[in-house]
Amino acid sequence: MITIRKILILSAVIALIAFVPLYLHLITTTREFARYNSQWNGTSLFFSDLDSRGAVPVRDTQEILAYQGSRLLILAPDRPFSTAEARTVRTYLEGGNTVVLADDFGTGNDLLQGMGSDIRLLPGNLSSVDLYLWDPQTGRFYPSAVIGSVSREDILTRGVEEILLNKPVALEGGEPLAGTSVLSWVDRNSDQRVNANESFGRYDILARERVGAGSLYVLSDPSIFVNSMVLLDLPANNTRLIQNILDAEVLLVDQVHSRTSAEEGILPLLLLARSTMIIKIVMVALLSIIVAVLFQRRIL
Amino acid sequence: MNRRYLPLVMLACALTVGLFIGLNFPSPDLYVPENHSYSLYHQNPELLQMAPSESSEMILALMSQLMDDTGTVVLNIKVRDFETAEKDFRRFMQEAQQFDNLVINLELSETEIGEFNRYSQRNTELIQRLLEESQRYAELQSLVIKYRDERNPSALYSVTYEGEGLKTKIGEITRQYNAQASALTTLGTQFNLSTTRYRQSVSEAEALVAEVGATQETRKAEADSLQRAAPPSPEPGGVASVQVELQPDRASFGDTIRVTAWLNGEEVSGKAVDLYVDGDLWASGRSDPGGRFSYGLVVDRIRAERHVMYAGHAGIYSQVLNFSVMPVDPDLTLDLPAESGENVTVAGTLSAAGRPVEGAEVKTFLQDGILIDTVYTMEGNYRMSMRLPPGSYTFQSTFSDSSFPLNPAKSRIQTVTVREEVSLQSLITTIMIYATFLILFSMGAVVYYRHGKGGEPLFRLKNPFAFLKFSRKKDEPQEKGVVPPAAGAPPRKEEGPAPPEDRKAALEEPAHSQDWAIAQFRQLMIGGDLQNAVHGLYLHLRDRMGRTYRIRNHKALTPRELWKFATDRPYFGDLTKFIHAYETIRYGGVVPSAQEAEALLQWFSATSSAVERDHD
Repeated sequence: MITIRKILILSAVIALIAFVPLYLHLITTTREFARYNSQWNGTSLFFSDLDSRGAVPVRDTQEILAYQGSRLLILAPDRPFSTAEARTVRTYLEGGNTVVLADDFGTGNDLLQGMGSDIRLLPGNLSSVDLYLWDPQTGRFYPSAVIGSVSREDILTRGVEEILLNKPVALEGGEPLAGTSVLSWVDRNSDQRVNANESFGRYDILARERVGAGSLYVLSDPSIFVNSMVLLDLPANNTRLIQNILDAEVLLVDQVHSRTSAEEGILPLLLLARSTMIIKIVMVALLSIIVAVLFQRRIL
Repeated sequence: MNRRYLPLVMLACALTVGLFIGLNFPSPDLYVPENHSYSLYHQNPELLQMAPSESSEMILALMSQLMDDTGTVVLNIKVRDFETAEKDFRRFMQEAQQFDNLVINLELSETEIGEFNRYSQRNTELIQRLLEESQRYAELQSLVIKYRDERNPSALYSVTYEGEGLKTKIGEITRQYNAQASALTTLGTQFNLSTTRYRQSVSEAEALVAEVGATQETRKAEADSLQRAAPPSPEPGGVASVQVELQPDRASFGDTIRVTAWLNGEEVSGKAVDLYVDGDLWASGRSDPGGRFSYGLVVDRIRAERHVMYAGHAGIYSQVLNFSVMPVDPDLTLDLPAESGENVTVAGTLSAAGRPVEGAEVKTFLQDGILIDTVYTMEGNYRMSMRLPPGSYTFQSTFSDSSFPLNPAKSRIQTVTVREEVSLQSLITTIMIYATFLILFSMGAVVYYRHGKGGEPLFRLKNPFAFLKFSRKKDEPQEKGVVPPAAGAPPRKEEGPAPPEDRKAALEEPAHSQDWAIAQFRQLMIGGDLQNAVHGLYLHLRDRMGRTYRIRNHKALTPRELWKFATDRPYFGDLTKFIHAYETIRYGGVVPSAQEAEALLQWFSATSSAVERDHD
């Protein structure tokens, strides 16, 4: 005979089980490049690595000037850089630090222009005959899955021969460190084909520029940091490239302009709760009281 | 909501869900990962596969090989090593085919690579013809030696004229080969390919033409010399010579070139006359009484290039004339309905200069360059049918056949929307699936109705066929199941505790007597079945109150609802105690002591008696 008590306990267990995915759903996001996005297009794995390395999130651009001998990562920026912020980044570079900017369709050009760099991100998807993705069911190739190759040795390209990119753009200016094969083109109309007004040529995908005593690196695709690319079983050297990028005494991660900081809905509150000890204690206490009341009323 | 409608609502919901699932079961794509696989910034590599890499290396290597191998084949033709040339050409063809596939697969047709591929395909065709014509020309040499040895000037002239045709063809092929050399070398240079051997092959081809020209001059001279030494002796009164003229000497598709041959001699009427184009017999006929033979050569399936023509009669040949065929743009149409069933018919026409093109190869492609079919035109029309799944498709037909004096052509791109067709077979399948669902559902409902909990159905359907029922005999029991004992009668001890099924059935039966209910309670208590014992008392009270106060659907009342109903009744206190004790035992699993059981019976009896009084 199933008693009400048993039904209640069973219901509580089911509710608890249901709560776990709900909680997981609430503390994650589906935003592109977001650090709390654990899906294919998020950067949760990369940020997990960053956290384990003690990377410092930068929530005010002025803060970077306090870290001498550091490396600032600006991944997929989508918020505009003010003139003052661009100047700050330049000052930071001139002080002997390193900036790695990985961007394709974001506001990276604002920063580059604001800080007086010669490097530019060109509009349009960079595509290549040297590609690594295809759909065997339809037989369709994806030329925007570009394989680039390293052309010059540098601290970032050490041990790296090939870089797999995912819908990158082309770079102009600076010292090229890596580029595509000659059978590549800028797909201006995004039809994944070379049309009459698009021609083959070599394009840069990673470039360097000396600014004072520091170095500015621009990578034309932030997608190499997303989970699905990090997990990809690659014959190329993306992992090594990422390790080289992270190989710095002090790592700073921009959270002012980057898409990686995207938080929405209830997520910021939950993250605050998760990261604040007093809120954790209050939550546990509340739960304990609720359970006690249920027992006292003989509901449980 | 009234509880009696609950099953109907549930049934409606279930049917709605079943209908929805049923409608979608052939294509269960409510969610597929592809729905979430692409964005502006990247595509999901987890849903795709790794492609064969290093395509550019492969493409550039093939391009380099194609340029080099062209040179090798031409060189071997030039030195008349046809065996090696054929072997090299086969390899060249394989490479060209491989390159063509690569260009199609990588969708590079509209690129410089695609342009290179088109030149390469054209080179394949030109080199094949150059090889064939050069081989044929080389074969003629053995005939020349034979006829020279036989001192047969007529046969020697015949061979020489055929050689003249081949010379023209080889010259034309070389001209076309050289015409695209500049563009091809420019493309090669653009991709940092070595073009040395290819450019060398162009020079070799030109040298070959010069060599054939020189050989022809020698053959002509030999034939003339032989004829002077031993002039042909025409039959007495026969044909002495043949002349030919044609008008116009430039024509295009659909035009007619008027060819007239004259036989000179004493008896020229009704003689056989042959017309040769490029050394091949083109037309034959008999001369009229004036020795003339006229023929209208319709420009149809003949290459767009320079041709040679001559006439002949019984080993006597005319002078050699030239005419040129110029290419024109054909008109290729594609007729497709905007909407179609799954059987799609593609039709169209191919015409040039207002005339239908007969026997031309037309290819029709689906989007992304997928070849649907290749058909040949009949009276300028072509038609093909295929079966396609529902969706939107774009079609385009192409024509490219250099055996016609027509430039390659493409039709307009047409789009068709293929609707889903309900075939008889799928209709029957769907009906059978629905019928199976319905039967299973009905069986389930019947089983539940007849053998539901305690044999008591959740709801009773009014029998629409009740009017067909015969009236029940008076002595028949009204319902199946355990017949309750007469009021006040104690249970028969010799029967012992009823088996569980009987006990359950007995408990669900309406209690007609308070004493009977109490006796049942005691019996079950002795058997240790406490929960069913108290449940029996509760059912007795519920039914009695339901009948007494005419409570609608009283069998669905919970103990608390029953308790609330009796709030203003005088026996409310006893009922409250009874319900509390009932819940404690039945739901709480508490085992009552003997005193508590007696107290429970007292509250039950007091309540039951009070209800009985109200009933009276």
